[in-house]
Amino acid sequence: MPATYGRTQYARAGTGTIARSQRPGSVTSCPPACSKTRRLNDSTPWTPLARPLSQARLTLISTGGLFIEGHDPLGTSGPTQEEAVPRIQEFLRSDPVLVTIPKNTPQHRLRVRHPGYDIRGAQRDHNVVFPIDRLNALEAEGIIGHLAEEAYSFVGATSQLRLLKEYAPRWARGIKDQGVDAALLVAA
Amino acid sequence: MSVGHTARVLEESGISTVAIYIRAFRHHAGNLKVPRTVVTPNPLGRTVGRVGDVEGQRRVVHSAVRLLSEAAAPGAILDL
Repeated sequence: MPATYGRTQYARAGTGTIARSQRPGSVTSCPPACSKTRRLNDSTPWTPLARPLSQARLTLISTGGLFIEGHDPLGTSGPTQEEAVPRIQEFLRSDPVLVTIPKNTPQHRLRVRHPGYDIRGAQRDHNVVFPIDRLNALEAEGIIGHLAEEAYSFVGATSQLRLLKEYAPRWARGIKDQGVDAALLVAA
Repeated sequence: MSVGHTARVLEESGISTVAIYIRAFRHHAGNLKVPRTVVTPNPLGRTVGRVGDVEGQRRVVHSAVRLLSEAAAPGAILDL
């Protein structure tokens, strides 16, 4: 994750209160006496797993920036990895784009682009940041009940404020409507 | 921070979550108050494991999904 995240504004989920990190790569911790800045999160949300793991429906969400060949989320003229890296500030100001990836998509059809990490490992084996093959195996073994047909990826280097206030709530509604009980998220 | 923010929103929407971070970003789990976290000792860009290491990747993913049902309280962090 790039240090420039520390300069990005973000908001507390559900409240709209905004804080700004002071140091690159870190989250500001505000002591009680600090009245002009606010704590990022005061509590931890919690949803117990609705049913035993062997009956639950899971999905996968990776911030690794994967997409399917021919379906570049930034369009047919989307940047190459080499072009994306120096444009990381632009990514950090941009809306996140959630990419849907069917769970049985062949590896050779997957592409990776992300301005904030070395993607060479993920290009050789997407499971290092998008472990869909490992989840498919756990489903086949009966360890998890169902792996949802659709997995997801987006570029984690994105506007945190818009992710929180606009996009993640929308994505959550869509995923919930598909009967998903749980999500495995992978930070890249 | 995107994973932590997204996990929190999903959890608030009634979807259980578990997040996998590398150790270098472990602090995000605590600072953002992520519901359930697995921390791996892997480098950036290989969160789940080494390229081609099917067994190692499986251990990480299996540990993560088990944490979904075994975590006893909000904010659980499992260090691998």
